Amino acid sequence: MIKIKNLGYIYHLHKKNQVKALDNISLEIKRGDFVSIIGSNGSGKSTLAKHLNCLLLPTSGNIWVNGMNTKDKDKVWAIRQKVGMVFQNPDNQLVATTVEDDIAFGLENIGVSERVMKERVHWALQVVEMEEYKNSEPHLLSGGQKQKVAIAGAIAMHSSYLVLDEPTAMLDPHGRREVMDTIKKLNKEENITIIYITHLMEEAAESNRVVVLDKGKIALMGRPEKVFTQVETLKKLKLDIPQITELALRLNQKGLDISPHTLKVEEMVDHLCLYV
Amino acid sequence: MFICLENVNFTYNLHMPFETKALKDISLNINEGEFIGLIGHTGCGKTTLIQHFNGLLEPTSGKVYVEGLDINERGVNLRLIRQKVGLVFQYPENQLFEETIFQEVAFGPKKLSLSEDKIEKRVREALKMVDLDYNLYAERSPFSLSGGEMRRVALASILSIRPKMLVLDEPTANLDPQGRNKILSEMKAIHDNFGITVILVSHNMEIIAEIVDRLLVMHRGEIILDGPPREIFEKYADDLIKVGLGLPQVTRCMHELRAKGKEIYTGVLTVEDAEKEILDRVRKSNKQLKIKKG
Repeated sequence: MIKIKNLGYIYHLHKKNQVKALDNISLEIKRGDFVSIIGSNGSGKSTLAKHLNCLLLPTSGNIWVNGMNTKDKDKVWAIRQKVGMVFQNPDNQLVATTVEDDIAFGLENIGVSERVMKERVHWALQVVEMEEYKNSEPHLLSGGQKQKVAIAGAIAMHSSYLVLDEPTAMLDPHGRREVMDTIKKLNKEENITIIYITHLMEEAAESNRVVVLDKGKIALMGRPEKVFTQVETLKKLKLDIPQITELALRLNQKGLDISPHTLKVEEMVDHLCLYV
Repeated sequence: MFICLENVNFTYNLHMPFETKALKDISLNINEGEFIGLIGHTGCGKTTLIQHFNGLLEPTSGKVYVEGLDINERGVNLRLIRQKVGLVFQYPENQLFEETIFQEVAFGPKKLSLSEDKIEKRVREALKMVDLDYNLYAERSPFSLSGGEMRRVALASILSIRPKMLVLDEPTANLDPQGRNKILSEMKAIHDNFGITVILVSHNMEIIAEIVDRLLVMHRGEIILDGPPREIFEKYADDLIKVGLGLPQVTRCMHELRAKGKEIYTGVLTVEDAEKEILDRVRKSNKQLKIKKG
């Protein structure tokens, strides 16, 4: 479990231009959960993500990953092994000349035996369905494939948590689907906890829990169908709601018996079949 | 006709082991004052295509005409072409380099050797077009701004050259919904108020289909569809899905209803469209079960 208690973070502390990025955040993320974090630019999403594997340390408050405090210097590497990160730009995080080498990079650093390394790389490639590309050069892959390699690199370390900071922002719809399907599979089949930062409400709608950040605070939190019905609050926070939910709300207001908690096209089609 | 492409082919690394055909026999006319969306999967050739519009790339074969002039002929002044056709690349904020926003936006006009007065006028005008207050912003550093604002400054620095056509490559990538809507509504205003021809390039249908008048869909180096967005959504939804583009949620919803044998118009672009169409259908069908009166 990741436990965040009264977390505050200030950039440029003790300087004139200090900025309060996180303000008294408390949150628990249980093993196997799929949490998405949304919020407008500058709301503190990435700052929060960077706290989960000691890239940033709290100005106030504490974070524990499996009981280890991120402020404990002796635990940094153990925490980083547990919490894998995938960033937005696929081109900035691949380092080796072949896909296989890239996935093995982290393992080499922690000194696992060659046999174990081969096993893990093979397993990770299998999970993200990239086996046939194991000898390819990463720069020749599509954006979606590159992100899958980055994900494989993280899970090869046997991380139990995967933090993804807008991993699909630079991908086209096909690549986006590929990444989302991979993440859902990791969550369901490998029981890896997912913390997913996104601007796309349709993506957030696929998670179990949505956390909405605003100016460094948690503004809303709950199951997606609960969060996305709070249209007024979301609009005030400069966020969208998924098209289908907005349509459901409008039709509901016009008196059609359609649940305003509708999140998926399929549900909407079923509702509408009764009418048209 | 503003831009005309005739049988344009382009191959990267020609005669090399990694030879890649990026554009295949593209013929295209763009008229002055059009508002166009160019859409396609990553790697389909969108960016390669737009680089032909102002001579950044020269076709492997075929012709490119800007206002009737073959721009790849010897002796053509490409500087003049590039003043007419402004290209805004992906993440233009990465290209900012000056100390103040004024200097940034003034860079283009300075290169045109305009007088100080005229330069200032152009900067004021350009900042106004992207809705940034001259008095508040001119002397600030462009690096002190938010992502969306930086992008608008980058845009202003192209507008200050007064191009006749503006081509924007993924103008909304990485912006939050508010930043995205702001840029899009400014593009629309720039088109409507100043008559500038605008081409928005994106792989995201939901973002541009709603505001453009004409949609060009590219796939593997070819333009496979060309027409008004509603018509394309209505008639060619399957093709869009086949080439990996996907449909907006509401459009998909209508197509799925149609697939179930329901009589419904599928060329919807927005939530408003869908709402209206569904309510119309509900009224027409006899199942007025729970519709409230009035």
